[in-house]
Amino acid sequence: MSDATEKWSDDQVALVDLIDRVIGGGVVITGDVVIGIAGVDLVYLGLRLVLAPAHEVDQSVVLGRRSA
Amino acid sequence: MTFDDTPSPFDRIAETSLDSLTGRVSADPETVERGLVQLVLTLVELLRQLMERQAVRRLDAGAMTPEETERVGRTLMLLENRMAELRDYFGLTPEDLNLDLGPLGKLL
Amino acid sequence: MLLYAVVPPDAAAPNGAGLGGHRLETIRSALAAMIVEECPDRLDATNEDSQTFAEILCNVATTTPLLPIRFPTMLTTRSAVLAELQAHETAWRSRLDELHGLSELVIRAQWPEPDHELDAASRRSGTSYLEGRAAALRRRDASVAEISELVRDWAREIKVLPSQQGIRLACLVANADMPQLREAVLGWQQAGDHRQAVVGGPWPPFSFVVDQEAESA
Repeated sequence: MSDATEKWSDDQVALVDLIDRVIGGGVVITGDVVIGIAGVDLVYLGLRLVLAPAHEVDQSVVLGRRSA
Repeated sequence: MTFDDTPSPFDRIAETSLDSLTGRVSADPETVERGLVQLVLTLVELLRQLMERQAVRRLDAGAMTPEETERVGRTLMLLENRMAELRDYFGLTPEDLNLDLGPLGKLL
Repeated sequence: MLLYAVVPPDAAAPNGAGLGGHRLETIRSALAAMIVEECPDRLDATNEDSQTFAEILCNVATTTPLLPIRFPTMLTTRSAVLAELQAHETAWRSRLDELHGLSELVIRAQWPEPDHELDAASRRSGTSYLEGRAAALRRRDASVAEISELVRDWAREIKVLPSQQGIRLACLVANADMPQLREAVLGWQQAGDHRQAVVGGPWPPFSFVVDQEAESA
């Protein structure tokens, strides 16, 4: 069993799952949405994930995301 | 799968994906974008889990020879070691690689 | 505009501000509406932001049923939001109706596994390694089946989530059934040595925004 998990409270463990669900679950709006991760722009095109510079994509808003 | 020295598909995937991915990521953990590394390693981890599932299915079905079993097991062990090294190097925990990759995740 | 959630078309406008400190707004179409926040500035979304986003959704969920939008998702204009609504509102409205009164609980269960990084015997050969992994995966699958069966009466839908160690199950549960589910999971934990189980939630239905049966049909 992971030592790290044993030291956490139930609330902390649950929080990890909540954050995971917020970014891993939910409705995915596909087609013309650009999402950025760590300064790299990722584009959802249907189920395909491609790397494309934002300026080449006729698109909306880029949201940068960094791990805390 | 072959019995000779030709690398199996598992070997090729393992070597190629890890080498090319680590080649494209900055060697310095201070400067590399942690989020990008996390994404890349999550994809590699997904591949590893897929290959592991496939290998176990074949093992349970008796579809591999002893030589193939040994080769596949060694490759997966190597892959797991490499993943652990990369995680440690970039300061990521196994939980950090839990990103749900939507439809890809369903393959597991 | 940062997208928060799909809600019924007549849902009351939410109070309060969003992640960026701006007022939450509701853009309405015939069959569904979208809660948004106009955020002109580029957001650097962190884990703290994800948590704040979740808290805002949980607050809004106390006043209206909702389908969370994956975080972070942004569209530039109101008309883009309206276009998405019009494209999907029939399906979204239908799913909102199906999810009425249901929330998400996430069960995380772990048990002692040999620490195979240190377990020299299993790593002596490729074959013993693979056999060890096969046994571990069998234990995981068995636990998924065992816990799924345990909560069958209360979990309308179950989704297996990715996990490195142990298992995680997202469950769609009616509010009234939650205490029984928690008690059943506690019983599972107490029935074995060194088992650990945590039930997170109740949360908005992040894992159940799409009807899984319809999706795989």
